[in-house]
Amino acid sequence: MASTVYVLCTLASTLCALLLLRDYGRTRSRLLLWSGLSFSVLALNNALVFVDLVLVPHVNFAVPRSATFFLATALLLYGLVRDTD
Amino acid sequence: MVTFLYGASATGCAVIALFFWRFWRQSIDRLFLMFSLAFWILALDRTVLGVWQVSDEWRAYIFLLRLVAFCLILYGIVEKNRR
Amino acid sequence: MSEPASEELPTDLRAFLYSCIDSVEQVEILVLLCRSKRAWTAAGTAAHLSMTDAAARNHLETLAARGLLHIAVGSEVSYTYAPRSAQLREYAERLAESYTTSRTAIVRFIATNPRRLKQFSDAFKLRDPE
Repeated sequence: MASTVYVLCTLASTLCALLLLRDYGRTRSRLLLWSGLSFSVLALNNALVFVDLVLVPHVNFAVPRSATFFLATALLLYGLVRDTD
Repeated sequence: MVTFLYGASATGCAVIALFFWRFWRQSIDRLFLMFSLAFWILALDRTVLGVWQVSDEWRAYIFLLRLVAFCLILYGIVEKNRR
Repeated sequence: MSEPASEELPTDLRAFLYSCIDSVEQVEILVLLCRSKRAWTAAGTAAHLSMTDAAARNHLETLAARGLLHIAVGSEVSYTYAPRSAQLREYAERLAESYTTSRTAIVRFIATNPRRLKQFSDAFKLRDPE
């Protein structure tokens, strides 16, 4: 059940990242770049949780997991502060 | 270290949620409302993890919060494309 | 955090502005063409509204792409007010009326919705946008 949820979250964040980065390629709008990167890292975070749960449950992934989530948050926040008047 | 990251992420998500809330108020585009709600829930998710220090997030059903957040985003995208 | 002036505008008019209008110049062009009911060239529009030819042409093309204007290609390219649907016509006409009475509210609404927000939102359209 939990692993399904994290797969779904990974797919959802990947979708958002792809849509944002696709349009960044078209319009070169920096907000799209930062939010696209943010969702990419968020997808990585979700994938990491899945890996932690299913593949290497004996290893504590807490630091990489929380660090990637924080990085995603920081990227998006930076983009929002910088590129929206 | 981990607790700090959870706390910082929770604050970050709350601020992001406030940005999206303002965008929704300005533009009345419901996509921004969905993003705002999603990030409020992610902020809550991070807060719970930070406060209760549950390292095995999957075992504590906290993942359901994350599920709700992403479902809101997906719903926003679907709704946007239906119009 | 909300803008009280924007709340003077009705919700559906705001939705129309948000989806079809990027700038105050576009409102001015739309109102001009709506009221005069004749064909305008880019150069003529630019001269009348004190903007550059390129800017006028860009705005005219955008409005035409959104179904508000008709393009006629003759010896010169000219644009006529011709909304594609009854709903667009209604909104455009309401906008033209409101522009005399609530110009500040309209300008303020457009100013507080930077293009970038729309770009972010449009990125989530799965089909290729217009």
